[in-house]
Amino acid sequence: MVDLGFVRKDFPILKKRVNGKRLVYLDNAASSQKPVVVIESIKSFYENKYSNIHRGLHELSQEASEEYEESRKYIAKFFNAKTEELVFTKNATESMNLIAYSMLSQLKKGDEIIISQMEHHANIVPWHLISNIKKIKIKSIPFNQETGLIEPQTLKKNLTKKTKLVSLTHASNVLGSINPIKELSKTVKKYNSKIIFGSDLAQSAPHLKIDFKKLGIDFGVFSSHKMLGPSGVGGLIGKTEFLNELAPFMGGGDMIKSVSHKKITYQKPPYKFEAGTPNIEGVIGLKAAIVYLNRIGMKQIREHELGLLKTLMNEIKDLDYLEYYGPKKIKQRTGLLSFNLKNIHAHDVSEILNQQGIATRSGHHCAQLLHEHLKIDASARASFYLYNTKEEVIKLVEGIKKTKEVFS
Amino acid sequence: MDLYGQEIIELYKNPPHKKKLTKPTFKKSDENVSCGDKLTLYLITDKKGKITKASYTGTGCAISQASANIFIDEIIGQKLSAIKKIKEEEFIELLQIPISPARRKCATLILKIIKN
Repeated sequence: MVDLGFVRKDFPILKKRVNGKRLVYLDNAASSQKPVVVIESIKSFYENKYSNIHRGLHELSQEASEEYEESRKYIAKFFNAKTEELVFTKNATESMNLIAYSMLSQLKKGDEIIISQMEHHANIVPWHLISNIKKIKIKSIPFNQETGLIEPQTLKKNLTKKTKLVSLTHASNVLGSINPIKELSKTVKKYNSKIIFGSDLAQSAPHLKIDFKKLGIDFGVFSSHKMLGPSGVGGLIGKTEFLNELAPFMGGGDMIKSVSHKKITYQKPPYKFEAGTPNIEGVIGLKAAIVYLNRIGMKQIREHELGLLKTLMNEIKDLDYLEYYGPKKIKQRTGLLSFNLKNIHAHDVSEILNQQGIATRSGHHCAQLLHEHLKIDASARASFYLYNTKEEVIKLVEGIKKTKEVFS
Repeated sequence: MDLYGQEIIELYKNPPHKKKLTKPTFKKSDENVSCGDKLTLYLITDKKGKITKASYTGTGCAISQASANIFIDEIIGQKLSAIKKIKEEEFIELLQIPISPARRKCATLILKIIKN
C-alpha cells in the first residue's frame, strides 16, 4: 500500500486552520492545491524571464518563448502526444467550446452529436449552443446505473449514419466512474472511422496516467488547476489531422500567418488556436506541476488514492443512513465519493463538515442532468488527491457521524 | 449563535407551520434550482389585507425550512402589503441566524416568494 504522506510538506496551504481546526481539504475535484515548486516557478519566471512570447527579438522575449515552448513539449510528452498536438487554452471548458464552435463549419442540419447522461455541463452546454445555430441533434446516452459506467453496446445502439461526433467523459466528477474510453472509441471507429471521438479528461488527467495515443481518441481536454497547476490554463490535445480540419476559434495576433485586405492565412496547429498573449506564466506553472507529478509517479498517486477509497468504503459500510453514487468496485472509481445522508440536505452536510475544518462540496456539481437521472436534488462530495491521508478520511467519516448526531 | 443551534434543528425536525391551507387567498411557490430547496407559501388574508393564517410546504436544507417557520411566525397578524416591503437585510436580522453568503439563497427563499 502506498502512503504519500511525505508530500504534504510541499503544500503550504495544508498547514492552515479553518474554524480553529486543521484544514482537511477534500474538494480536489473542484480544484487542487499547489506545491511550492509550482509557486516558485511562476515567481522565478516573473523575476527572471518574463516577457511576451513569439514577438520579440530581444533576449528576454527569446528566453520566455523558449521556456513556453519547452513547457509545451514536456506537457505533451506527459500525455504521450506530439508537441504540435497540444493547444493551450484557459481550461477544459474553453477547450470544449473551441471544438464545438470550430466544428460548426463541418456540420450541417440534421447531423448528430452524442454525449452521455453523466456529463459535466462543460460537455453538454457547448453542444447545445451550436445545436441551436445549425439544428444539430444532441443525443444523450444512458449509463449503466448499477455499474456507473457508459457501455459500448449502448453507444453502438445510438450510432447512426448522421453521427458526426461523440464526446464522453473519461472520469465522472460525481460518480467517480472511470469509463472504458479505449473500447468506446473502438466502437465508434469500427462503425465509422470518420466520426470524431473525444473525451473530457478533466477528472482523469490529474489522477490517472493518460496515454493519448493508446486511448485512440481524436481529442481530449483537461484543466491545469485540477492537477496542481495554476488556474487559467487548460489544454486541448488533438490529433493533427483533426486539428488541421478545424476552423480557427479566436482570431487575433499569433494565430495568423499573414493578413492583407483581401486574404488572411492562418498558422498551423497548435498556434492556429492560440490567439493573443496566452497565460504564459500559467503554462510555466503547469509544467512545474507535471514535473512534480512525474517525480511522485502517476502510478503511485493512483495506488495512494485507491488506498484512501478502500479506507473510506470500509468506514462507511455500516452507516445505513448514507447513500453513495457510482461504481461499487473501487478499481472502477477515481478517488471521490458523492453521497447523501437520509433526511439531511447536502448543503447542511457540507456546512457542518466545514465547521470541523473539512472542505467538501455540495450541490449538483455542474451535472444537473445526472442528478435528475439519479432522482436526487443535490449531493455532498468528498474528493481526494495525493496529499490527503488516511487520518483525513477517518476525520471525514467522524464528521459525517457528527452531522447525523446534530440532526437526531 | 451556532448555525445549527438547537432552534434550527428543532424547527427542521418539528416544523410548526409545515402544512397546507385550504382555500388560501395567496399561494405561491419557488425554488433554488441549484440545490433543490423548494417552498410553497400559503396565506389567508382578511378584507383589510391582514394575514390571519399562514403556512408552507416544501423540501430543502435546514436553513430554508427553519427560516420559513421563523418568517411565518413573524408575519401572522401583519398586513401583506407591509411584509412585501421588507428588505433582505431586515429579513436576515429578523432570522437571527449567522448566515454566510453561500447560504443566503437558502434563507431568503421564503422572502423571495412573498415579494415577487
